[in-house]
Parts: sequence; structure tokens; C-alpha cells
Amino acid sequence: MSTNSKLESYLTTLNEHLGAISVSDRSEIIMEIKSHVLDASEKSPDKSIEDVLKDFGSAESIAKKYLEERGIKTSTNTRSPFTTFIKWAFIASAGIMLLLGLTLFMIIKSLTPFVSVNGDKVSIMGGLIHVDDNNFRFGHTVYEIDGKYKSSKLKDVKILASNGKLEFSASPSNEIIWDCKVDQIKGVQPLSKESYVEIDLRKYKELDCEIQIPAQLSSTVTMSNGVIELEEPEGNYDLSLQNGEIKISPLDTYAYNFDLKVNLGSLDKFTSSAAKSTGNKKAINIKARLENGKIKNSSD
Amino acid sequence: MDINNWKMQMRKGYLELCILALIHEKKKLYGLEILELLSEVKLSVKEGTLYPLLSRLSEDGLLSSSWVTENNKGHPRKFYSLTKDGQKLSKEMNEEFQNMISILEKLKK
Repeated sequence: MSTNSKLESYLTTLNEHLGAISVSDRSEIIMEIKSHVLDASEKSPDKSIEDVLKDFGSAESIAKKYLEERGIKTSTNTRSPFTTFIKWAFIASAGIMLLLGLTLFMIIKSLTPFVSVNGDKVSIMGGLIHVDDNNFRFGHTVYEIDGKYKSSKLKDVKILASNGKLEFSASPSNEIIWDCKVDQIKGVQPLSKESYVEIDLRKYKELDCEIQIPAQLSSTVTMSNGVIELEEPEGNYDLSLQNGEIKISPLDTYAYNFDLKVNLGSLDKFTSSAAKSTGNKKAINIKARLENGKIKNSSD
Repeated sequence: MDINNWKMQMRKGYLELCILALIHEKKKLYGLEILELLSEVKLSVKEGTLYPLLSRLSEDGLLSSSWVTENNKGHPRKFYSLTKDGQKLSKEMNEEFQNMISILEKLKK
């Protein structure tokens, strides 16, 4: 391509990109730039037409400046519709991805019980329920429910709960006694099954119960999040908790067989002892499985 | 703050002021001459900036232009001169700029 045809091709491109400017103005612009290029290359012999054109920058960018000076938007003139489509498609899909990501995050956050154990304090579900040694509180209104269940036959007890605190101690009679603070007015109805009594507390999203169980009964407790406390246990317990804290204060005068496991967290020292000082009484079996949190020995 | 961004904003108005003042002074100039005169005083302006600006100042009615072929040889050049509006605005812009400089000077005292 000769230098002159390079100039012509530059001017043609420029003309094409000045589309929104009137024909007469466009020809003025083309003539003026042509005049400048020829003038400048004549004045400095070491400068070729290409060099002068380089000083100008690309024909597209000059056209853009002319249009900008006149306050004409350049996007439709300098960008192909395809580029514009791709740009918007990209923005739209990025937005959708972001929304999906956020939604997923919210769902995971609302479903995953988030537990943090810090010293004596346990925080569950991002602080919805706070647990520390002396204090337990809900985020919602509290209702009190209490009741008794007399176990005529010797049955074992099965307790199911979702979130909250369960405190167990020995019943002075042969009755199961409960005293609960819960988040909704719904009574507790123990179900008598073939070989055990089931107390299902899972309808409460939050609860704080003191439950007294006759010493001769074995209890199985299954809870999702919170605190299970065994206050001087005199019967067998089989506890399983997903997240939170299990506190056990064994009696000095009893012998225990401890079978305690924490998947993620801490486990205090518990000493299993043979049935020695208890005379003819059998050792009490305490089994606990905790996914996340701590098992604390609170006897001292 | 980015100094280059600030410079660009300052320059936009300043460049118009200078170009109008220069054409006012010389009465009649063409593009290449303006570039050369500006570069002599170290005010570097790109070709790609000057011509669109001259085009817009003409559009705004501040500059008038005419094509002149000197001595009937070579190619025609587009000469710019100030219109009456251009002269008036150039004067006002000068006064305003002097005012701005004196304010800054007062502030620094």
C-alpha cells in the first residue's frame, strides 16, 4: 500500500466513523486532516505520512473525539451490536450468578447450625441462642410448660429435641417430671411405646427444660443444637448432640463407665471407676456422642 | 486523588482558553500553526485533540474558518479566526482566569 493510499484509507475509515456528523461537516474534517498530514510531512522531511498519521492515533479514536466534543454518544457508532450484546449478556449472567450465590449462601447459612465454643460460652446459629454457664436465653417469647408422667412399668426414656438446653437430674419419685421454657404454647405429650416412653420436643424451635427421670430408667437423648446437662446422674444415659455442649457433673459416691466422644472440639477428663465404693450397685453407663463442641466435666 | 485525572479536568478548560487567546492574538491561524505555537511554549497538544476541539468551537460559533491556498500553490489550509462571540468569550474567560489566579495568590498570603 502506497503512502498516499494509506492516507486515503485512513480518511475513509475516519469518514465512516463520523457517521452521526453531517456530510458537509464530515468533508470539512476530512479535508482539514488531509491538509494537516500533507503539510506536516512536507515541513519535516524526516517524517513520513505514516509517522504523521501515528501522531493522530487511530481513525476510530479521532472520530470518537469529534463525536464526544459534539456530545454525541459513541457507543453505537464505534461498537458493533454484537459486542454490545456480549457485554450486556455478560453483565446479566454475572448478576444472575451473584443472586444465585447469595441465595445459596443464605440457604446454607439458615440451615447450618453455626456453633462456636469459646471458653465457657457456646454460641449457636450465629448467636440466635447463647449459652454460657449461668445463663441461657432465647431470641423469642418464652412460655412455661410443665408436666409429669408416671411410668407404671419400668420403661426406658427416649427424648428428642432440636435446639435448646436440656438439664437432667434424678426424680425423687417414679415419675418423669419436666419443667420447660419454650417458644410456643404446645404441651408435651409423652408417647408410650412398646419398650420405652418417647418424649418428642422437636416441635419447639427453642427450649430450656429441666427434666427429672427416675434413677432406675435408662435415657436416650438425641438433640441437634444446644446444651445437655447431666446433674449428678443416677441412671444410664446415652446422649447424642450435633452441636453444642454436654456438661456432666458425676457424683463422687457413684461409679461410672464413661464412653464419651467429640468429633470436633474439646473433651474434659472423666475417670471411669469400677463399682467399688458403691457396694452392690452397678456402675452407671454414660455414653455421649458430640459432633461439634465440648464435653465438660463440671463436677468441681 | 489521581493527579492525572485532575490535570485532565483542569486542562480541558485551560486548553480552550489558550487556543482562543492565541487565535485572538494572531488573528488568523491554521491547525498545524496552532500546534507549533503551542508546542513552542511547551503546551503539548495532540493532533487528535486539537482538531476535534477546533471543530467544536466552530460549531459553537466562537470560531469562523476559511480555506486559503497561499500564493496559489500547495494545498488549501483551513484558517481559523475569532467571531464576535468568540472575542467576547475569550475576554471573559481571560478575566475569569486572572481572577482565579489572584484568589489563589490571596489564599497563599
